[in-house]
Formats: sequence, C-alpha cells, structure tokens
Amino acid sequence: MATQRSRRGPTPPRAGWSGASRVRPRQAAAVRPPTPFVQRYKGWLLLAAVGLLAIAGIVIFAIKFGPSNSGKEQAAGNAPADPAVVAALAGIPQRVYDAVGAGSASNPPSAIAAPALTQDGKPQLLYVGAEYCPYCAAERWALIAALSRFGTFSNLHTARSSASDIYANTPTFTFYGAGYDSPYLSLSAVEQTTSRPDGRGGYTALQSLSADQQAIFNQFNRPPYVSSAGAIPFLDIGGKFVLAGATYNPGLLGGQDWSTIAAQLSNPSSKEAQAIVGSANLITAAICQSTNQQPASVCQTPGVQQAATKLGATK
Amino acid sequence: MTISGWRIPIALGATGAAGVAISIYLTTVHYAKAPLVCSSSGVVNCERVLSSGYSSVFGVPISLGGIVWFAVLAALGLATLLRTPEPLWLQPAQVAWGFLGLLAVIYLIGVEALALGVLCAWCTALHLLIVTALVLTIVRTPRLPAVEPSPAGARRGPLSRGAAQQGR
Repeated sequence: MATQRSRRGPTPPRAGWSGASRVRPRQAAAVRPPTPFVQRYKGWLLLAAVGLLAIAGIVIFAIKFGPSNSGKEQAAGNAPADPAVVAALAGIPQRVYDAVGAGSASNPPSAIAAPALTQDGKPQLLYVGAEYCPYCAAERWALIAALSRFGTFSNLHTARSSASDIYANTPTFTFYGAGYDSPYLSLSAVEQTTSRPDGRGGYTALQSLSADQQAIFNQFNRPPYVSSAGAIPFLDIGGKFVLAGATYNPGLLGGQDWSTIAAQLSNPSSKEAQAIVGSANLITAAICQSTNQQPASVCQTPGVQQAATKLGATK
Repeated sequence: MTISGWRIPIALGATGAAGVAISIYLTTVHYAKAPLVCSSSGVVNCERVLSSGYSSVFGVPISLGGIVWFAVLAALGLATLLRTPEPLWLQPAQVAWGFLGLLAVIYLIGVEALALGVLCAWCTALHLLIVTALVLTIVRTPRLPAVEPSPAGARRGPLSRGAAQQGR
C-alpha cells in the first residue's frame, strides 16, 4: 500500500503552508528546529516529579513510623505531644504520689447526689473545657496524670492557653482529637473552643456539648455544687463528684516548656509536683469512688487515701 | 502520541481557577474566623491544620500564597492560548512553576503528617491540583513556530534573501 502511494507522486504539502512555501520534497531539506527542552527531557521531568513525591513519601513514612521518632520537643502548640513528656506524666513514680498526697492542691472535687454517669457500662468522666482557658491548661496536667493511672491516652497534642488572657500561653495539652482507653472508666472530653480569637471577643468554636452534657453542665456547674456558675474546666466524675476551676494556680507553669515541667514531677518537693501530683491524687481519689476502688493498686495507695480525706462533702 | 491543541491550556486555566477559588475560601475563613466546611475529627481535621502555627508565615496565611501560585498558573495556561505560536520560554516556565508548587506540596504534606498528625481535606485538594498541573505542563506538546523548509543544499544558518522571501 505504501509502495503504491509513493508511485503516485510526492505527498501533498501540509495544510497551513502557504503556496509560496510549496517546495518539492526532493528539492527541499527540512530544517529541524532544536527540540524544546521540555520535550527533549519529558520523560526525565516526569520521573523527577514522581521521584520527588516518592522520596518525600518514604522519608515522611520513615520519620513518622521509624524507631527514632522520640525525644523531640515541639516548640509550638497544637503539635503532637512529645512521647517522653507523655510518658513522664503517665509514669509519675508511686513514691512521688505517696509523698505528695494532696500536696498544695486546693479546690477539691465535691461530692454530689446524682444518678451514676456511665458510658459503655463504665463510669464516665465528663470534662468540659477550652483550649484558650488557662485554668483548663493547668488542670489538664493533673487530669492526664490521674487518668493515666486507669488507662492510656493516645494522640495527645500540646497546646497553649490564650496569648491575650490571664496566665497567657500556659503550656498544656488538648483533649481535642485525643483517645483514651481504660477498662475502668470512660472519658468524654469537650474542648469548646480553640485559643484562636474569633474577632468578636471570643474564640473559634471547636466542639459542642451534647444535650445530656449540657443538662449536666447546667445542673451541677453552679452553687452550691461549685463555688461559681458556669466556670471551666468542669468535671463530672461518674455522677459522684464535680469540680469547676483549677486546683492550683496556672501561673506556676508560666514561662516553662513541657519537658521542664514533666521533669519536675519526679521530685516530690518541687512546686510543680506539689501542685500537679497533688491535684492528680485528688482527682484519682474521686475517680476511685466511681470505680468501686478499682484498681486497688491505685485506689489503695497512701497518696490517694490521704487525698481522699480532702474531697468535698456531698452537697 | 502527542497531546496538543487547546485542551491542556484550558485544563491548566481551569486548574488555576479552581485553586484560586479554594485558596480564596481558606483565606476568607482565616480572616473571618468562620467555621470550615470540613471534618473536625479523626485523621482529616482541617480546623487543626489551618489554625496551627504552620498555617501562616509572619501572620500571613499561606493560603494567600496559594492564590498567587494558582493565579500565575492560570495566567501561564491562558498565555499558551493567546500567543500563537507560543514563546519558547513558556513551557519551561510552566514546568518550573509546577516544580516550585510540588516542593511546597511536599513541605506541607510533611507538616501535616509529621508535625500535626492530621490531614486537611481542602489542602489535599490543592495539592492534587498542583500535581495535576505539573503533569499537564510536562506532557503537553507546545505550539511552536511552524517548521520552514529550505531549498536543497541550503546550509543551516542565517537565511539567504531567497529563502527569506519564501517565508510567510
């Protein structure tokens, strides 16, 4: 077929050529323009793009899931918490708990007469707070320490309280996005706002209370159960105890980073341990009232027993 | 097989327009402190990503950079349509711009995966647009000046008067 076609004569000129440029092929030799760079290296460029993405993916995977992903302090808030800090908080030595007891903590949880608050057949601890709130920032240290005696946290992130409120930039964690697993109790944590101003005098909304949670908040977050109405942080511990506000002064944590605070928790005479460990013992003692003193390895320890004597009477 | 004509420049323009639209949305939400239309729990969490310290540089949201990048991409795509034949520098410029975007994508994915531990759906959409744009700029065939035949025996170099008269 091709042979027959060639016998008919030269191939007609391509459309778009002007008549003046019609030159018989035997008389003309096409000038080959230099191949454009991108056309010449098209394959290499595609390979470079795919290679960059692949290398980046491998590096990210290796860093995220590799064995060396530990011990790096996060400089800014809302980053994954340093596992070493979380481990230090979750692993405060028993001798420290026992030596501190209630420590310097004040404003202990108060007992209430209410139906048991449960979730999945376990006592539930309801936490209501906000990332901007410096008192919540302080209380989370103690709360994480206490809850880590009953279970395990995952995906905790660091955060700071509002930069424009009292006790500005208090270093802390956020329960937003965190997981908690325990055979003894459930955690229901609500962080109502971020610490980012919304331009209207408040902060950007984050999570909302359910209707049941709102009812509990309205009913028990007011005198005589707590000292003032509507304060956060608010805790309802299994329907047996409530707590509003912090159990120590957030100013204690000002100007420190997470690692420094965590390191002080193994020293029972440090101000940080007296406040945070003391508060953790108070919260632990209240939780133990909901878990029927289980586990005994936590609830029957001297530090918890001593703190239990400080819990507020039923109101 | 070659991919030429107006389809890819149009696709580049559309990609740029879509990217500009998403970036404007994210910038508006940033300044208006408005809630995002996005998941706020689990692995996909736009709020966490876009309220983190990584979402802005010296107080300027990086979504503003997205607006600029996609606007330039759209302009480069439309320049392909408006200038026939297209300039020799146009496709290399598009590819270089695409690689610049790719580097930004890699950095931002690293921040999401490593520093924040969550992904932002809107950001991922922008990342996909950038990668798509880069691939399109590489695979397209440029509309360069038509090849001029020269008389037999003519040497390559400056056109002779006769050869020049054959030009259009």
